Amino acid sequence: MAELHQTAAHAEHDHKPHGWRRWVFATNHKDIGTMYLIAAATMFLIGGLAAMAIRAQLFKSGMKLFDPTMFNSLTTMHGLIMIFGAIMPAWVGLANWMIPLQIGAPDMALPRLNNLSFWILPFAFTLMLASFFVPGGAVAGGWTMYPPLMQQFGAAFPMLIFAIHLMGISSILGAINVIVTIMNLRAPGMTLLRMPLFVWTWLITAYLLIAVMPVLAGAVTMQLTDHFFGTSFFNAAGGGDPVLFLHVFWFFGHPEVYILILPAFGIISEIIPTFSRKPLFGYEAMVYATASIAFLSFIVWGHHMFTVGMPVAAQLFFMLSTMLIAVPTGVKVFNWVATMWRGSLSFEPPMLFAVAFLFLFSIGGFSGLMLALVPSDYQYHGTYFVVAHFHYVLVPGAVFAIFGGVYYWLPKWSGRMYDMRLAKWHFWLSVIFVNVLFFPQHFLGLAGMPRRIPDYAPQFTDWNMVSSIGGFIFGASQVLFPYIVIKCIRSGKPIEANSPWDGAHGLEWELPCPAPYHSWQTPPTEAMLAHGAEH
Amino acid sequence: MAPNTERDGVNARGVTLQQRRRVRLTTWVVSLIALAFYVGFIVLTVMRSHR
Repeated sequence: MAELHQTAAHAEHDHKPHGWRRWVFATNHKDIGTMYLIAAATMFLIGGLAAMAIRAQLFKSGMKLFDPTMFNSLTTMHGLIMIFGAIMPAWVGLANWMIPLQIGAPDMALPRLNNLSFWILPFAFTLMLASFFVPGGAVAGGWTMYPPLMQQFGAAFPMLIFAIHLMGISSILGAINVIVTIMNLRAPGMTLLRMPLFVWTWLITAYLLIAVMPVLAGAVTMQLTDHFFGTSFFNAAGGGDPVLFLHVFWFFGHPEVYILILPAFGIISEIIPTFSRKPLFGYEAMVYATASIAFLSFIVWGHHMFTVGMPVAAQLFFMLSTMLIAVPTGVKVFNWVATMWRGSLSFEPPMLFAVAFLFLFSIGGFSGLMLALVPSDYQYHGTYFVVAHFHYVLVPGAVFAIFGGVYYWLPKWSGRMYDMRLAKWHFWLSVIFVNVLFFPQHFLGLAGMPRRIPDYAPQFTDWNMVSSIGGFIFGASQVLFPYIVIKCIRSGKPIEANSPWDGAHGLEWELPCPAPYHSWQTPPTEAMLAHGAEH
Repeated sequence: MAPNTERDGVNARGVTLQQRRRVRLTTWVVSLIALAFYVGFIVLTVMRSHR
């Protein structure tokens, strides 16, 4: 019945534009989602090459592959590319593909705006990357763009600020679209508390984006006017305050961390029940925990700047509010483990990435707790310990969740199954060498190695060599991922059923594989909804 | 109750008239929130940096 229902709509509406027009004038959420994912993968490659260059320079003490300014440009651009160019567009791509399918909507609510938000990105990325080739090179003051250092760069400075504005506009438009779609285009009967967790986490993420991307835009606009129009928002000589930039930046920056990780929580909450063949433990608690984390993310920004000099009362407030985040995060980790408890587990690639996420994201969370403690942070601040911490959160956290999500939904998108053996190779190489890459950086940081330096004292050499070797193998093993995806699309084994995963629930699995070009033009029936909503 | 309960004025994309109206309203509200954060933080910075 479900297939008949969709096939009728499918036959009538499945004509699609061809050639370049299909992509340039795209308004279909699946096409736009695909373009986002391709853009994110491209930027992941470029940002990854920058990371390889960084690790090559740090392979041993005294290496001189790059001059110090170029090295600092590489670290700065690696951060900006990975955050704004790779992880965020990957989440928007997954949101575009999956939100309409999961809530039973025919498309995103604002399809032309969707087209605009995507097509802004290639211009922004080009502008950002082109800054490597202008006199003076790319901005080298760190991704946080602190004044007055940031003010000292040449033509790259306004180029980066314009690129950030464009990426910010794109994110805001994307977030508006997500909120409007989820609030208005849900199928009849799809109440808020029946929505899949990925949709919930994206709804909350979109609100975070709406609140903080304009703050970043405001902060960099003020830097621009300080530089070119004689204002002194952050210029001490003119009565301004450079520390104020840190406050404004981190008011954006900390919720940004959750923008990067909340959709990952959503994906893990989809994958674990499927491969445990059990409903998600504590669905409502998961929703409230996500909302709590989002709320708390607005009141913890000071923990990024404990050493800047702030009153003890403020340090205490930020320390305690930061530690409070461990409570809802703990609820989530507990619920994922409880979902697996006595489940009928199987370990296909999405589940492997999800389980690795649980362990490794928790390591990043615990080192975050260590950093939240003011007295300890005075020791850790500005060292490789911080680098290890946020890479554990972002690589085996956000990036592994993206891999898990793609391996979970790729059969739905392509109608074909990927090479399971190769995907498992991708997983094992990634999970082993991501630890070889980042775990030693904890030791380096605790021993006092500062971050953002092109060279270091010889006593740090051994663990840096281990870290670099881990980095090279981790980087090389990522080549498997596009190969697996392309091989799947071109010659994967076709899938006959609606779902290749026997434990999967959700409206997306009520549709045929591949999902028709136009889906849910007739809303799903209550029976589909009831089957799909078994969280 | 989920919004998509009436099926009046369904367009080619399968979106109802009621939904299109609510889409317009929500878009305005969310856009204004974003604008308020942009302007609000610049105003706060001006007030704080030039006391």
